[in-house]
Amino acid sequence: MEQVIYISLLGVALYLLKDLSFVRGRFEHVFLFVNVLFVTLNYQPTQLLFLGCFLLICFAFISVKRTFQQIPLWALLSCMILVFCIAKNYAFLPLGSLHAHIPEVIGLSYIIFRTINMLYEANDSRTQISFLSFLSYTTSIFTLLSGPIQRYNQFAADMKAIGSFHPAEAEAKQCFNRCANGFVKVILIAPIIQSLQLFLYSVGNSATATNVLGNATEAVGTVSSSLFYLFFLYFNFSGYTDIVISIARLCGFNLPENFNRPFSSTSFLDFWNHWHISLSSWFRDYCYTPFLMAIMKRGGRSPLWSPAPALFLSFGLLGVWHGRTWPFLLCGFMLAIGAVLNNTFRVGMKQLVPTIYKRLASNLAYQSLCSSLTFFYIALAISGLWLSGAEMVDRYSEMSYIVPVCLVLILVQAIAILILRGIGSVGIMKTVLAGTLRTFRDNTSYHSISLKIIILAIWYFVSLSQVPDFVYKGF
Amino acid sequence: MDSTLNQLQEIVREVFENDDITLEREITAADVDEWDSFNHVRLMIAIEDHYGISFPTGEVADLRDVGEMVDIIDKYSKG
Repeated sequence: MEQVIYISLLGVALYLLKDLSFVRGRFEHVFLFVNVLFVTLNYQPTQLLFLGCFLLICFAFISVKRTFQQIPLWALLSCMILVFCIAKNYAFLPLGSLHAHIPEVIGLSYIIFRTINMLYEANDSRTQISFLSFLSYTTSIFTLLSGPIQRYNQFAADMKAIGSFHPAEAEAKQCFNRCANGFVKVILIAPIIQSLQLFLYSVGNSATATNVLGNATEAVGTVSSSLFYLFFLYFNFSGYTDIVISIARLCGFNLPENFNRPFSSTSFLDFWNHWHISLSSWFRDYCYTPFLMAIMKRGGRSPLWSPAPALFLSFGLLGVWHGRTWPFLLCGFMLAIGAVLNNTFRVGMKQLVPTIYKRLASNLAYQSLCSSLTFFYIALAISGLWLSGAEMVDRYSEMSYIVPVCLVLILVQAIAILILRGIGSVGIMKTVLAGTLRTFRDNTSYHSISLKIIILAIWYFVSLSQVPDFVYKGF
Repeated sequence: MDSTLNQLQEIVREVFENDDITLEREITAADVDEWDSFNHVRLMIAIEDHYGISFPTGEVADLRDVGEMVDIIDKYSKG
């Protein structure tokens, strides 16, 4: 948590100092200095050394590709991914006693995406990638800890234009306000939801609840707490994203959005167009698209079957990326199956019963049921983010209770979603809700922003030990 | 460049099976209902086949803007 406060302060300092004659004209050097300063102050010496070596190896791969265009991209890509897997200390690798000596370095899981992006760019020998650009892009304080996964082209374009970038007062206020809102999500809202989640998890052990729910108590506690973990994760991660995007924008960097109302989505694939967007779009562009293109060029043109292997691979890797142990292999498998099933169902229905499917898809009740199923499925898939392997085995082994409890809770949630979406679409409620939200969230007066910051600062220091750290920093 | 835009429009109409689609440089994938990930790949292959070119891997990926697409086609079809 403190690291994000430092990032915000460093970002604001960059924003204020950007127009000094010393800084203007050598901003990229100053930016790199700030990045190195942040990393030096927050990483242990062994972690720093490890990070440095990893970055040098990645830059070597990129330079080799640029210089020797005849070397196939897939060969260098495979080597880079192997190096990453070793650096991340994946449990399934047969490294023996080496496992104990590999330090945990925060940020590697995001650096690999940036370096693979650069490797693809290096496919064109005309692309110029200096070591300075490479370092400032891969270690950028705005994306180092937990993304968003910014594309190199955008970073380079932003850096080129940074000298002439000056946010207008209105835009600067919006940035500060969004940053304050981000801290509200992380410091205030996320911990409240986490408390609810932990309470529900403990329900499984509660004698009172067992009197009411009988043998299904533990299943109810486990499944419902999984769902609330998803809600907690949204506020925790989107709050972080709000902070870094707004501070980066002040300095002139345009980071991609990570969230766009994910709980309004109505299917598994739709969800991933609205959740951790910079990650899902990265996998879409650098995994799904090339793989599908290779399949289609070899004759696979069926919209029903051809995408399946590409979807399975992309979502499988996306899930496995989240962690190093077997729960994340399970996560990858579940996400992969979810994507394939969703696509097969959707395309199949469109081909077999297009008119019925069109009518069904526009029905609010059907949409609510699909949304509920999606949120539950993904919540269960990412259980490994907060449960250990042993806990998962312990809590999910009673399938005779887990399955019916899931079905009941999916239905209950679907009804809740239907009511909320129904109410939300009614004119006066829309105006009242929107008006209330707007007043708190979107008021960009210095008075409002200052008030939020003061309340948050007091709350933060009062509840210091209880503000959960950023989940996605741990990858 | 205008003729590239017109040719691209014809290819898009054929691939997406919708003769009502009209392309402008400012249009992106988000503006066209049929332009999902699967159809994007079909479109890229159709463009490669039509112009006899081969896009480098990675360049295809985030090409979801008609203006950029026209520029890239002109770049690779010229040489």
